[in-house]
Amino acid sequence: MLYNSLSYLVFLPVVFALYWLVNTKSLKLQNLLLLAASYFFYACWDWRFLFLLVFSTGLDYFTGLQMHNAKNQGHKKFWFWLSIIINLGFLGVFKYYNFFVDSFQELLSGFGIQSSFWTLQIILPVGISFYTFHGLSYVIDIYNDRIKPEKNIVDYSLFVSYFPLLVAGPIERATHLLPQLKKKRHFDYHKAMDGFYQILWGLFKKIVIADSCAAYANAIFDNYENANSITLLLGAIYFSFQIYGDFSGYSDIALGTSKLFGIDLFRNFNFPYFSRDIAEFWRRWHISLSSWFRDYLYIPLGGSKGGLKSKVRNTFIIFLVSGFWHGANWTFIVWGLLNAIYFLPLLLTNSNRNHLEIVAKGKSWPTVKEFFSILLTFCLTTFAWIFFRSETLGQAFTYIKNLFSFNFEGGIAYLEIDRYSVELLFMLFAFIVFEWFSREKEHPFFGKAKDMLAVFVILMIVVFGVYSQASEFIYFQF
Amino acid sequence: MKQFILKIALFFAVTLFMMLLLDLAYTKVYQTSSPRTKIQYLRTLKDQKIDYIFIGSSRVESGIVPSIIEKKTGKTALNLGFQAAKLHDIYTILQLVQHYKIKHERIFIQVDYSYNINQASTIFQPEIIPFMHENEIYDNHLKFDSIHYNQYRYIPFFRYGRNDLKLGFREIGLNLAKKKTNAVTYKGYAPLYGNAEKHHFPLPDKINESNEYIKHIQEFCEKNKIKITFYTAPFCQHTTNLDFIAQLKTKIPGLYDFSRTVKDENLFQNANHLNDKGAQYFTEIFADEVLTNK
Repeated sequence: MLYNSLSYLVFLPVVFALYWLVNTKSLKLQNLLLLAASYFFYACWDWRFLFLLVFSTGLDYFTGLQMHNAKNQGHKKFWFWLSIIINLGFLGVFKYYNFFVDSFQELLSGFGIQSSFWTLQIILPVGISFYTFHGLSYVIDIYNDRIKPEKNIVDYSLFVSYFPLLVAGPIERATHLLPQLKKKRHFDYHKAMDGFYQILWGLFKKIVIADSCAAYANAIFDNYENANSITLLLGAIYFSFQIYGDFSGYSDIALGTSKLFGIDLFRNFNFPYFSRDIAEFWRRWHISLSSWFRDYLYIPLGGSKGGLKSKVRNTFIIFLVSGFWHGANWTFIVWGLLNAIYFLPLLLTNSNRNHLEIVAKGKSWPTVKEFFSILLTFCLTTFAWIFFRSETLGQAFTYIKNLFSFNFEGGIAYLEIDRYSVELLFMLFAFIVFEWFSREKEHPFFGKAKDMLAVFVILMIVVFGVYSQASEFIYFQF
Repeated sequence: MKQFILKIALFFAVTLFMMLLLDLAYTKVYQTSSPRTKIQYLRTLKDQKIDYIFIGSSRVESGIVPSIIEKKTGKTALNLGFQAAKLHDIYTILQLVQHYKIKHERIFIQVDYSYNINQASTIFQPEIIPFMHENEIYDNHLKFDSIHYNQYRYIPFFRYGRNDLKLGFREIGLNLAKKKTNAVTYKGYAPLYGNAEKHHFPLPDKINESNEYIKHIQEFCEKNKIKITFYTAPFCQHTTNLDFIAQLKTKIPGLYDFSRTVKDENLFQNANHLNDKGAQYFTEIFADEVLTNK
């Protein structure tokens, strides 16, 4: 069930009505209803994987309790590693098994050894990377005595499977979400309206921006071998906005939906394309994943406490792991590596925490220096996205080679989708201006005219939305 | 809660109202602007006379040059070929020609492996969507052809949203700007250029027992005294199972078989589509053999 589908348009009001109109008196019923709705939501993709989700939930619930009740450190360690190995084992089999087998075979064939290991016909269970990380953070926090295990199985299951965040995050923490699930929620008009506006903005970003950009970016990436430099540059820019609109749009819908049920989720995006350097970009892009890696990988590895050598090593590790988390493909690993390289100068000059506030706070326009810093950061991330979007490293390198061949023959291309390649720039420019003036808020709906703005955005969604090729959210595949 | 529900209901009502207005506005534009699609063009020919009308798939659209027919015969001609059109689409077009009272001397229908197919073209569908509320011909076609028929019919603007690439905001802009297409400029002929690699296009091994739309077409023409001629356009010599056309001739007596007429590969854009040069060459042959009896 996609957030941008008619079935979700039916599902959400039904759950909302049952939640507030039927179950206002009992916290237990509220959570039970949300859990049932979440499992139904997940089963709509593939009911068979529901068993995997339930097993993973049960495993972490059980090992969490066992760790807490362990008589000695050895027992605690045993349950901890059992959970980690099984969780990562599932992820490894479903997501990475074929990648390792293929890569190993390629390596052997490089030495002239022909091999035929078995690859498996595996469907990746939707959301596995996200709910596995939910469970891991919970288990690690218990092991480190940061939290106590949750005894109520319904509440814990809801923490893992809560439908707004189940398939593509934000990756929540037990310390943030579980306390909210332990309190009875009361309907708050302002919070619900805020949720509604945020859903609307998310839909706009997905249906209008991301899906429009997808049509152009796909047309260009599918014909990258014959395209000139201008077209390839536009293709990369369109993909940058596609992935931003897609994932931040998804996150807005998730956060907005959750607000309708009186529950706040982590903010996942904070205008990343207005970042002045890569460090700031990573504080504003997929925040819940970046902070997860910071807290559960970077800091345990020593973080920035060691010398410069260990700081650099740890930074490269988290970016490479982050790349690999996104998918079993060398393109993602190179994407992560590139971002680590971008990060390096900031680390070496100790300037990776220079820009903690949003750019030009309280002002209308950025300074010239800020403008060019934003532009440079955008160019760097857009360049890296080429690897993220390409299906193979070969494709990415050819794309980049052709991009920098400075071949302008044919000028503005007419794409296979019966559109000129530059047409979408006008819409993107308007979108950037719109985002710029709302960058100090969570979404553009504030002030007295917010209802008028909502009507305007609905009109834009109706008129400019892409409905012929309604696509899944990109991050569902991770 | 009540306040929230009322407000959401209000937004919902405003959205529906906007969709209704947009639906009316888009439909009006497609109905009244100068034609950009063949169906729009066909509508403007109401009560006029076109001597020779060619109906079929892209093998007609890119294979018959009306200006050559007109030059050779001194009569008017129109190319109503649609990409991927099947016999069901052809039947609909035929009914529309009759509905708009377009007088004609003869209608030529191109038929080939489409005899084995009972579905309709997904490419033809968007062209008729703006007019679906106008008459039963459009409506029946969509009822048969589209899984979204009920949404198209009952949810305002859904039909334009669902077909945004073909009927969306951009196309409305081009309609309002009166940007012309080949539909009018070349009387429906859409030339293809270039000469793609050799394709080994296979025709089906066996022919179906019958095709219900051929029967509908024949009955409709008989009832309305429409003179029709079936023909098969040329295939590239690399096409396999060309015997299929021989089988087709047993199903459609009187079929003009041009399947092996064009031997030169350079006249094909791909295995089953002539390029511009090929279309001119074939149209000359067609006019000589069928229309002027040389």
